[in-house]
Amino acid sequence: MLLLLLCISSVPVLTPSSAFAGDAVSQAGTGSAPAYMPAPRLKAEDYPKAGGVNPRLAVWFAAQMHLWFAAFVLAVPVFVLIIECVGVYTGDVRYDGLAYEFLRVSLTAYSITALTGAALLVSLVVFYPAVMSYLVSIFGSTMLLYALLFFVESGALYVYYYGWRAMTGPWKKAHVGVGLLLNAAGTSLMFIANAWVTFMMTPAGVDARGVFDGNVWHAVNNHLWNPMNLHRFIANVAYGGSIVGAYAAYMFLSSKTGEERGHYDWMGYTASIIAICGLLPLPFAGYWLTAEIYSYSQQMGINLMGGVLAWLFIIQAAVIGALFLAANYYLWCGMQRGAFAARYNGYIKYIAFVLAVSFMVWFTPHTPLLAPAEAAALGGQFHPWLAPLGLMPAKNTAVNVMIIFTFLSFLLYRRSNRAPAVKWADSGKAAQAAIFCAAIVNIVVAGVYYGYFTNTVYKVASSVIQVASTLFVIIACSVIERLIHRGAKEAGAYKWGAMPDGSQYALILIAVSFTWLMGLMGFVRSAIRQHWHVYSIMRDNSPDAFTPTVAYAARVVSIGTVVFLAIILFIFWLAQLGRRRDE
Amino acid sequence: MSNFLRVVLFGLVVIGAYAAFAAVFTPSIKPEPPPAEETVSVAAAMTQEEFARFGERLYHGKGQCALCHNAAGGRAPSLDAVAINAARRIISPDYKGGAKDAAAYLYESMTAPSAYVVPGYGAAGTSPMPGVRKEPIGLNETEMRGVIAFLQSRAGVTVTAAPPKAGEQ
Amino acid sequence: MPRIVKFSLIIIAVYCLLKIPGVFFTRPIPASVLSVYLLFAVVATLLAMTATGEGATGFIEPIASLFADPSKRAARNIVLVIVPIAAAWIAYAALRPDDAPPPIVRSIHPAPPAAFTAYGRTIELASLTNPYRASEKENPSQFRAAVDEGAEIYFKNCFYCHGAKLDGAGHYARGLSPSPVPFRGTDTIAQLQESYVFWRVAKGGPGLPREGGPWLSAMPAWEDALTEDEAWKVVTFIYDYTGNRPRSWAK
Repeated sequence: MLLLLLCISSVPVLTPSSAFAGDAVSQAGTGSAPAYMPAPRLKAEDYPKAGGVNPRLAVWFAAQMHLWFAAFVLAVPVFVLIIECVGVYTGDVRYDGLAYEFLRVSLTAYSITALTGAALLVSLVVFYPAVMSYLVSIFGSTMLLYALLFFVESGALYVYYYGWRAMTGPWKKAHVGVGLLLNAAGTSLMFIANAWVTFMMTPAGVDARGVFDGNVWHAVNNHLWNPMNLHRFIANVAYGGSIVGAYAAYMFLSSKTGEERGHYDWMGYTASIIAICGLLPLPFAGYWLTAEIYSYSQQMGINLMGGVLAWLFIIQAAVIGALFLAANYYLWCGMQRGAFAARYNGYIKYIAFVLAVSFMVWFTPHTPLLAPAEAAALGGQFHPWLAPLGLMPAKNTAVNVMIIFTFLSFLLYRRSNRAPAVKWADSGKAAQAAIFCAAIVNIVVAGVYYGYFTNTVYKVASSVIQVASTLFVIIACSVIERLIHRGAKEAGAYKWGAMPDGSQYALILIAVSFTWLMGLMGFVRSAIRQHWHVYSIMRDNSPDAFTPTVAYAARVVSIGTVVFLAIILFIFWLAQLGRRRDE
Repeated sequence: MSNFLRVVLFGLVVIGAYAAFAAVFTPSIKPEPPPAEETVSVAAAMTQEEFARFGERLYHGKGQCALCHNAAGGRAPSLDAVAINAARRIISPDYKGGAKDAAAYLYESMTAPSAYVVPGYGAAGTSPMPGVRKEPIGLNETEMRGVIAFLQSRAGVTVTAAPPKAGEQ
Repeated sequence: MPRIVKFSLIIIAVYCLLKIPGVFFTRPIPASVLSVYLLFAVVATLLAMTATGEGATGFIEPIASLFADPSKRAARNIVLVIVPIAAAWIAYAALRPDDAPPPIVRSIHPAPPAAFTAYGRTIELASLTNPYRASEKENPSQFRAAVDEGAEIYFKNCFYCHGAKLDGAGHYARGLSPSPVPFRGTDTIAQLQESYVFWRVAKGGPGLPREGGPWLSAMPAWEDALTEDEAWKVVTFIYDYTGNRPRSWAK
């Protein structure tokens, strides 16, 4: 099994180096100082004909599948390591069991990741040979490193998994160390692959004709590399949490005994907290990525946020809104586990109201779709009250308010099971309320004033004020919360399992939405290259160089999501079989 | 209904809802096809007016100027009267570029945008605008002259950019 | 109150708030936006009402009992008739062939150029003023004469579309989409400078800039039919007749 897996997994990494290393050398010439060739100018005939297969669709699908699985197998070890460390820190054996249960799942996914990687590579080599050989001529050395890291990762994974039961007691620290190595290798793999992708968007280390300067670091450390690394890493943490949460939700729903139900409820809760912790900073990482796209090329930025692709962000807004609502709903349902839930149930409707209004603002398009009769009634393209809500400052305001209220839901959830013990609890609560109100006022005023009454330069500045306010609320209120609950008596343990079934569907929705959104945003990231393989360096002259419509992209992503989740279900089923056998 | 089917159905409904949302609530606009790669070659001699119209097509098409230079975005200065303003700009004390007349200023702004940055649109010396001679825009000399002709005719000043002769690239 | 009734009342209230123009929003909200807003309202209300265990059961119980309880047979039958008919009607209304043209994305007030060519010369908008405006205070009789002449020009040229009452409802107005602009009210010419109005009169639909297009304007370029003086007189007339003042940046 091990050998077979290694054989399969080595395919995607070894083939490029062996198949194309020759090309790279021949292109580079035989002299001691390698002279690099300019990027080839391709014609429509240079693209291999594929009988009946749409080349772009094939590559798209393979890449998307590979990305989802790669995100999954990178995310699960991150998640597992966090849980293991929590287990070591708290001494609670449940955490250790949960981490181990999940690592098993990721083993199967690991081999499927390698398979999809091979499929992607084959499709790229078959359909876009010239592009691949150009990229290999630049990135050949990093591809070797990629192969090497893959072996490190595989080795670490096997030691980590099979050593779990053996490395206990004094060896536990060493085991955590192996987990760290596994994650370091996995994350480095992702960073290397990110370099190839971001090079195609914001090429560096090459001149205007695409002649490589020979320093591979220049090409790797291109404009978008670091923002992309951060964004994908945070998203992976959140994604791992969400998938584990969905697994727990499914197991919760099919549990027969109250004990099982309690276990999976707890697992779902732990996973969703990690998912939410990843979800909260994600908009800021995305904002950085977008800002860097603009600073690299205004054109690319405008193509991203204006024009046809702008509609994609309306869809994104709806999906993110759904994610926030689901997360809040899960927290509200979770309050019922605590003894004091009844005290806070009355607040749910107000939080829901604020979230709904923020969501509406977050969604409102600047130029809505209008029937002619509506346009006549409106007297123009823009609604006098709603059009300003379509601009970025309003969206930033809305998303910050949503984050603050999600945090409030979390705070109430924590309170549902304990009462403050210190004398100054009331003033502490008052301080929290004051911080909340001040931050919201600050966010709204900053958004409205700087967003609409000053010029463009300050619009960006206002988002900094807003983010700072949000972070301040989260940190300050958490500190106060901890202090006023010092020595607080918990009103009995949380009643794990005391949740309506509906709450579990919230977890499933989070995982499904996350997967779908990853696909959609992956499309837009790639689409802003437009008709370029390597932006402004190597033109795409294939018949598929055009940008498809948003609805078409959504269809491709939807079908991909269905296929991916079906395979994930299959993997869960396999893991369950394995567990039954163990028992 | 078994839990398995219920969960699968729920997942499919969520995905279907997103796909439907994308299909119904976004306009079915087809993005523009990629611009032709061939540089526009001039078959016959053009009149001054035809040349300005040729420049206008480039301004909105291949040159992608209107992407930023529009009234709505506020991202780049308006070019409505740039051919009028250029003459004033090159004699102003904070102008450090090398242009001696308005048309040369326009040419310089296209090929070396950082030579003079209009206040409020980027720090002096580093313009956010890409040079239009480079890819992904890649205008050639004739095309850039055409854009100048268009900007001049649009501002209502005398068009000085000379139209190409027959056969010129 | 049963939860399901409460829920329905909330949604109806939200719908009314969004739908009735002038109550909360001054103009109607486009249907595409409205439906999504309603969706959000439904989902958020539903979630808030079912977050607690008793909330969820309190919500689902009446619906479940409607279908399971033998004593509610009459109510059940009514629901089972009404719901399919409503669904059928909605589906029919959505798919019914319609002669409304598809939506077109365009902006209504084009940005004017800084300068334009008309009457054989280059005119800069920033420095363009109405020659008759000054006479309004200095020489009222001359101003009145200009307005009267403007009225005559208006009724010989403009009123076919813009209407006898300057309300945009002329004889041909029904045949045009978008409709001709009304000059009455405070949101058309009152928001514009006279130089802008003069530019629109002189250059008409063909003179609109390419940015923000495609334009749909049937307005002819009047520089071919009216003299510069006549164009100014008609501009003076439409402001005077409707009681609007041109927008100006100077105090």
